[in-house]
Amino acid sequence: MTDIRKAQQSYVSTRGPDWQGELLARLRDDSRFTQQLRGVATWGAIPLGRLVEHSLCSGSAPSSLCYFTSSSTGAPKQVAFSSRDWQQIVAHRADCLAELGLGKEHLAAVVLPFGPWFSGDNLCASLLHLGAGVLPAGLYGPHLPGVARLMANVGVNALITTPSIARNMMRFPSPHPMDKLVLVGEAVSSSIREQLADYFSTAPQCLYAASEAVLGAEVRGEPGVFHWDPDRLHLEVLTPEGRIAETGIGELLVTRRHGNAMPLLRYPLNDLVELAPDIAGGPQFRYLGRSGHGFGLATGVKVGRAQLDRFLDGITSPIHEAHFTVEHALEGDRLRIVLGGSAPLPIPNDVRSRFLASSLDVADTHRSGFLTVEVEPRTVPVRAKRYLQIMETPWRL
Amino acid sequence: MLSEACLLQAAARHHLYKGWDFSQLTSFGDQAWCHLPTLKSERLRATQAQGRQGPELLFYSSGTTGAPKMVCYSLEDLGRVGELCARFARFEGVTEHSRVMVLLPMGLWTVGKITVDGHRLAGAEVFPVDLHGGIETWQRMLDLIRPTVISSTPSVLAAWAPDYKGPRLEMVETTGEPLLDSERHLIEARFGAFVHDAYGLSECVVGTECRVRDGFHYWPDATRVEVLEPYSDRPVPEGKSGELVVTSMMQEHMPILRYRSGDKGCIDQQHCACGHEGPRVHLEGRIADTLVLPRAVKLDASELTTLISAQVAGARFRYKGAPSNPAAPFVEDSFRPALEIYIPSRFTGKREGLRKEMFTALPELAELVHEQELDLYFSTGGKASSVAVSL
Repeated sequence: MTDIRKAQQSYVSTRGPDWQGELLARLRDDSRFTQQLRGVATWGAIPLGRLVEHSLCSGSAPSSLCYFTSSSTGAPKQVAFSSRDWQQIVAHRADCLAELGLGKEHLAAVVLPFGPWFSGDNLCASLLHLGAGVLPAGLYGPHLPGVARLMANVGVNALITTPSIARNMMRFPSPHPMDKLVLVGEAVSSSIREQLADYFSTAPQCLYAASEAVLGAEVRGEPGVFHWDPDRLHLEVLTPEGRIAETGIGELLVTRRHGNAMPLLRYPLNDLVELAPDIAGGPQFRYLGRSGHGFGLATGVKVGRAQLDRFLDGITSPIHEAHFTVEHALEGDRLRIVLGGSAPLPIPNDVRSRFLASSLDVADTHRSGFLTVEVEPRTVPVRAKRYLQIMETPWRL
Repeated sequence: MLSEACLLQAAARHHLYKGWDFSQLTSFGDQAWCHLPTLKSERLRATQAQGRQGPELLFYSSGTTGAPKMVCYSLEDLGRVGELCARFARFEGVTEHSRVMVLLPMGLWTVGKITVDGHRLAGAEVFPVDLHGGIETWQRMLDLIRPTVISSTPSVLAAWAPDYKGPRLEMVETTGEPLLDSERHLIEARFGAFVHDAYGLSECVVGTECRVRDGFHYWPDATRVEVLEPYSDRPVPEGKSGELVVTSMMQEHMPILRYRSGDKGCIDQQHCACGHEGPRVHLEGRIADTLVLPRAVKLDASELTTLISAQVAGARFRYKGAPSNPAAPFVEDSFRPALEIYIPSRFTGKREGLRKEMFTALPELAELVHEQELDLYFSTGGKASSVAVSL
């Protein structure tokens, strides 16, 4: 029997045989979904979602806290939370952290970006919810040596950061053993896991979350496989054939069963996953990488193909080919942009400034000291269609 | 807020107050209270990390001697501090219709977190924005957020004011550093909004201005303020100036009793023209020899000397900063504060080591140099052959 409760405009659905139909009927009654559900008869016919500006969601609960997340255009998208949304997402993240073994005995340093980005604040609140102690360290290059010393001084025994930043912290002279190392924001290869495990004296575990939704915690002993909570989320995939399925390989689509200020219905996260059939212990998926061409940066920022196209379109000189090469180094990322065009070739410093100005989160990564950008223009023959090449060092998926 | 009994019980259990005799105390301000010692920042620094109890958030509050000063809040403490900040916000006129851009340091420092919490509790829609990135980033965030209220530090807003391109705001809130009269006028003219300044420390939030702007209103159920003679525990006569000593009725996890703020000021018990009853604090500057750096960073001069001379015997510094007297004229943006380190000519080591040590001990200094808010020079023997250093 399906049980769908509507509590302060929040939908909670257990998994019964007819839950989709019943949830859809409930959603149709909600004016916030009117536009997306127009003409939709079955769950399978719901079109892909997008982030709707919360002020356009008539009848939605007022948002209390707003963050930003990167978008394909480079202009950040707003992600809004009502007080109740915030409580729910904090509780969800806290459950994921508990699955990873974090608890009252831990004093955790959160070395992640804080406002206007979501992850730092949300992780701090979730750790406090669990009863842990928290050092909200932030993510800023010039602070890192001081943060490393603070961590040792106050007895931090858990570190939460991105794989790149954890690697970056390996340059500090004295290793600081951790009881827990939780990685977010980027996929991490087995060789990096081994390096980090050696340095921090604990095996890293991953947490999968986006600004829009917390997805799940890594299953113990199965790197890249995440457990997710069907009472909070509904996950589907958009298969390469364009079909929406509940199992198999495809682009991940997220429906969040709570979210008053900004509902999330069949929302694509641009991640490629394999959704496994339900098994004992709860549903799981395997992360396979980003679904679009692009690259990731040390701070967990993702740069997509559309963003690069938009950046190249904005250059006034004719560009026939572009090569973006990202090298993930211990001290930060190095991005080399080679632009092939016809005279007049663009001025490297102008292009560099334009690239950094094309996205707030890329600029933030650069200013924080974790990204250097070099630009080299060169003359190439005219092409009928622009050629774009993106290369990334292999340790990252 | 906490009751007196509850706060005293918490203090009696806390290692910070080891040796304090609370047994004779019947109420705040009585004779036994006046005989209690005062709490100095050195003691906070010396007694860090002595065991953890329950969920807590640790904020950094500087510390140049290698032992950082940390301030710890439990969830309940944060709720009470947030409620006081919400009281400030409502008092200033923030409503559920306000869109508040909180442009303050997020992460390591207390001020960003409690300002965000306070405005959320006041019902506003809140957008936390860290200070990194400078004017261009702030302007881009402003365009995205379209706030009606901005909450930041005076130096940040004064730096932004000449380039501010946005609508008139409903209100501007400042905190964290002295607000010069000329800065207030500049900010009000360029942002088109009334400026409310607030006063507080990482250790204890104190008060805020009303529309009359004649001192900072504070609420004795949340914060108690005493005025003592600098460098002694004797109270000054009523209405006279001295060092402001604060007691927080909000923090139980790490109680703050009779904490010496290092700020000079007096208490005004007279009713304010705004109609609000209750005392006000008038600030008159710093007692301690403090470097007031941009973005609300304060460094104790004697501790900075200790830090650099521990690395290089005989090293000294000179700081050329903006004025901190409220009546001082605003210094145009062509001026940049500078910290000059004099190294004795006999020193043969590498300056790089000293620079690294300074940045590790003082991440806030590293940030200011990285963001080109402060020039850091090293020179030998006080000669003019200074070398500009950048990260």
